[in-house]
Amino acid sequence: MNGRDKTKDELIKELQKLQQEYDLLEASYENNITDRKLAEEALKESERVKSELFEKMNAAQHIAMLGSWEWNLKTNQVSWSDETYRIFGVTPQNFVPSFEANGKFIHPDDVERYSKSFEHSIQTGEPLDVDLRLVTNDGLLKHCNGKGKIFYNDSGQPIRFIGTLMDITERKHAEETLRNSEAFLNNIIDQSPVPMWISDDKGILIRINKACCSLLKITEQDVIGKYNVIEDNIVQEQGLLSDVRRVFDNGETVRFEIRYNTSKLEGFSLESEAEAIIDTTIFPIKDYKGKVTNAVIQHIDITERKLAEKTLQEREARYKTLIENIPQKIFMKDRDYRFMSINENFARDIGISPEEIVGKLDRDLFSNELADKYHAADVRIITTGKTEELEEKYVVDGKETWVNTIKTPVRDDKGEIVGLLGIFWDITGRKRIEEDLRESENKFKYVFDNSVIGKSITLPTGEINVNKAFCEMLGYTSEELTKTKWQNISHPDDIEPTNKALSLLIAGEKDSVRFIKRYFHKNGSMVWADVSTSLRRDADNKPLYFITSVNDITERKMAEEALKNSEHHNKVIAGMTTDYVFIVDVDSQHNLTLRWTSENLDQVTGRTISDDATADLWKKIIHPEDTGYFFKFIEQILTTAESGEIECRSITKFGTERWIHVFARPETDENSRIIAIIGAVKDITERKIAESEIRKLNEELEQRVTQRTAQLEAVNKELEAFSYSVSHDLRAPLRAIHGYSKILLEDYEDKLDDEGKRVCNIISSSAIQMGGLIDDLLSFSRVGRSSLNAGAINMNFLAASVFTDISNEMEKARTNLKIGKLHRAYGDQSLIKQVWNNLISNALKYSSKQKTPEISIGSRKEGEMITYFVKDNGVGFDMQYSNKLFGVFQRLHSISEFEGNGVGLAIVRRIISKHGGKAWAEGEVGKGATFYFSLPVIGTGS
Amino acid sequence: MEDFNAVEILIVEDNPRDAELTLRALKKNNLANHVIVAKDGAEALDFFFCRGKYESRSFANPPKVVLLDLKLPKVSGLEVLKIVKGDKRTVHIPVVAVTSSREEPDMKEAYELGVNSYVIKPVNFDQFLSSMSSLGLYWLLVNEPLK
Repeated sequence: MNGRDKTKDELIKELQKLQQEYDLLEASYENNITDRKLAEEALKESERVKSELFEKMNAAQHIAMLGSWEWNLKTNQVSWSDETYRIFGVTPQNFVPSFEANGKFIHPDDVERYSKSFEHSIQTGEPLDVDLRLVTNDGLLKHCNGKGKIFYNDSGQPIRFIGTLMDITERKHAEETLRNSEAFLNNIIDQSPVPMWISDDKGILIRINKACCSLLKITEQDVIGKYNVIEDNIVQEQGLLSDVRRVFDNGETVRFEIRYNTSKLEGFSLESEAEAIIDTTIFPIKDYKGKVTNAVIQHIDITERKLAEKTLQEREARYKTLIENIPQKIFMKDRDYRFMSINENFARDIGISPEEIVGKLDRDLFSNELADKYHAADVRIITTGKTEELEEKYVVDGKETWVNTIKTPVRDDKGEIVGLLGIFWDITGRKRIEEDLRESENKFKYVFDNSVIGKSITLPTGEINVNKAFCEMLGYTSEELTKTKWQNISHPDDIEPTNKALSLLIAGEKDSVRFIKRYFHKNGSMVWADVSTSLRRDADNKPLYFITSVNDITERKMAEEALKNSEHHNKVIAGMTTDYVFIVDVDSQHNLTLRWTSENLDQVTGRTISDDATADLWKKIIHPEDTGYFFKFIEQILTTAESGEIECRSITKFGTERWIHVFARPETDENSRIIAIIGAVKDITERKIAESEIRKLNEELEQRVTQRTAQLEAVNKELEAFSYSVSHDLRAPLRAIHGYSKILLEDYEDKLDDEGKRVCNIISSSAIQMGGLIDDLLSFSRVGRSSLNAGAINMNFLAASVFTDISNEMEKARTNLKIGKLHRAYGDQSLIKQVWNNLISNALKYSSKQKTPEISIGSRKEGEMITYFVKDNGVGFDMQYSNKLFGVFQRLHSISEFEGNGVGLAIVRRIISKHGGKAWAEGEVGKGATFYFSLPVIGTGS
Repeated sequence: MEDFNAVEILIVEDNPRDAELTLRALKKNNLANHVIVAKDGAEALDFFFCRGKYESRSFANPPKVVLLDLKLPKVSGLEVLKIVKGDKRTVHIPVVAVTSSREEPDMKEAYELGVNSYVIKPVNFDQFLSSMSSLGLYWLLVNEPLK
């Protein structure tokens, strides 16, 4: 509550007093209305007082922002004070207040409360006290407090509701601001990473933030209202109580370090037994009178920082000792090139104490020449910010002195160069040794580089240095080899053996080793090398490097390898045959000495070269009857110098006879003189046996064929003679029978009665019929005997021409002939023509009684056969006789129905089977017939 | 005694029936006036070469045609043909092979030997008659013999 509010409250009280006075006056006025006359004076006085009061009240109300109102419950009229109008933002001119009209200004959320609170008061008689929000005519949101009281008449009827309306918007705002700032503060405390807590004026903890809880491993519930910093044991033990008291008693801010044993504070990131050091600040919060009302306690864990500080101090001390005691001279200069400090060693050298040096320049200590030189270097360091190392030679009193100096810039924590640090020392002794060494190295390098043998220096880690000859051997440049290790250019299989050899050297078991190993040339080829290696050691006998000489022996190795391979191959190849190979040396006298045979010699002959290497071995191996023949063969090779082969018999050690095939070739020297014969011997006994058996079988076969052929020829001859006889001798009598019966009819016509003539006619027609039978029989037998004269046949042409030939004009006109695309055939054209002839004439014959005879001819290919067919719509046949159709003189129809001798289909079948095909038929009585014949796609048949 | 020099047609035929039927055919066309029949090959050769019972015949008067059956006793028709066509004196005499045989070898050989015509005797007498008639007419009336 601020000062203004207090004034307001006082005003409100005053106002209420005034109101009561006013009310009393009003009441008395109303009650005494009947005594008006009597009270006229009093009334006048009363009116004046009332008006005065009213004005006073209005003024007071305006100051207090407190309006008043009155609701006449009888008339339902509402009257407002000026301030009430102002609060609502209306004027008496533009607004007539009423309970309902006022309700329009109430904030929608408060409307219910507005009507309920009034209702409540009216019903119960309790005073009204309600906070409501108004939305004024000006659109402002105002928080208001309404108070009121109901007045009753004597009979207890409520007549008026009188009350006040106060604008409390500002107060509400102030309350909210306070709430917000409290929340803000709480938030700050809670979210602060700085562990802190707040105590009351007695030191009792009233608030603690999360950071503090987690630092001290406590919960709010444990400590709020319970912990008192003044009573803390550790504070007392560490004599910090007086400090704490100063906060509360004197309002001072204090700061101290508290040490906790970590065993008490679990979770500290320190080793056990260690101390945690907490930097604690306590500051008081005072009220306006300066009285301490609260204290804020902040903790910061500085344990690690403390530890780091301690470590740093120790380290500094160590460095100082080190710097003072090393043989090098050390100095430090600032940006202005003035000495800041030097070590003892340097100080001794120039005869000045380390204290005295501070602020001195080079000029103050050295000759101008030297000082300028040092200064120039210093300037470089400061300006470039780069470290420099120099080796310099000084001549002092005619004595050479080498000094090695390192100068480096010194930077602050921002990286700014603030000075420089220098270290220098005498390296004269080392320089001398280096020079000696360089000279010796040069000598060695010359020898190393120019050696024609590959040389390398190999460090124990594998890095290598090589000479020109080594590079050439492997095709790499010296740079490439320097970058690699010997293992990378060695054959993987040789790395282990090489390592073993080198380890002998390292162990000191041998001074040098020599071995063969394989390298890889840059182009991927293998390089064989004869390697000698020795190990250089230093004075302490520690291994330094290997010196290796490498001789390229690839060609020699390859030759050896090739020889080994070919020997191996020869042996394997020779061993893979069951036969054997030999080499015989031949001298100028043509004496033969067996030099080598494959191992199979023993297997095949049961003899070995160790039995006898002379030509006599052959006499044992070759069959006695063939020995001469064999040596003649050898002699022939030696004289003609040409290779040759023979087949002869061989005798094994066990006396078995075997047939062998010998292929032999002369070997000549560079003068074309024959020095050896190389031969391959193959056991051909099985073949020989097989051959002789085949020969025997062939002979037998030949004989049998001859016999058969003779028999066949005889049969054929008989057949021919028979048909010749038939064709001549059987026809003659028939001709006679026919002729004479005709003559009889002609010459004795008048003497023969009808029966006689009929008999004569039967005789003559029978003769004709028999003539036909004979002709057919003959042609049938001719088919069997004649040989095939095969060739390609255009079946379409053949079938069509047959139809044209054999059909008469009438048949051609009325027959519906369809010839499909026919496959070409291979066969005897005249015989196949006969087939078409017979089949088409059959079709014509048997379909002749149809109204429209239909004949269709076609073919189809089925695998290796082509099937042709002739289909008609004629009388057909019963399938149960289909087999008889193709028999000689077999007929299914009588002569009176259809002419014919029953030979045509027999001929067809004979011709087709002669061609390797088949002939068959399908049909049904009255529904036509189909005749098929098949021919092989290619071939001449039997 | 017949005048063999007047013979216009010589029929060489061992089968008297065939001979008779042939003669009948010729007669029907009035071609049988100067016809003689030789019963076998040997007799035929005698005729050709004017020997034996045909001694009186002269080479200068050859027959206008010889109808030669190929199947003959003693000397076969083909043998006769071979001899006749192999002799300068007789080669020009027209010889017609008249035979029952349809055998190809016969026909082939006959032509190779120089037969002038080859006729197959049909079994059917009507056809036989017409064949013989046309044969006779042709050789006697149409064909011009060598003089």
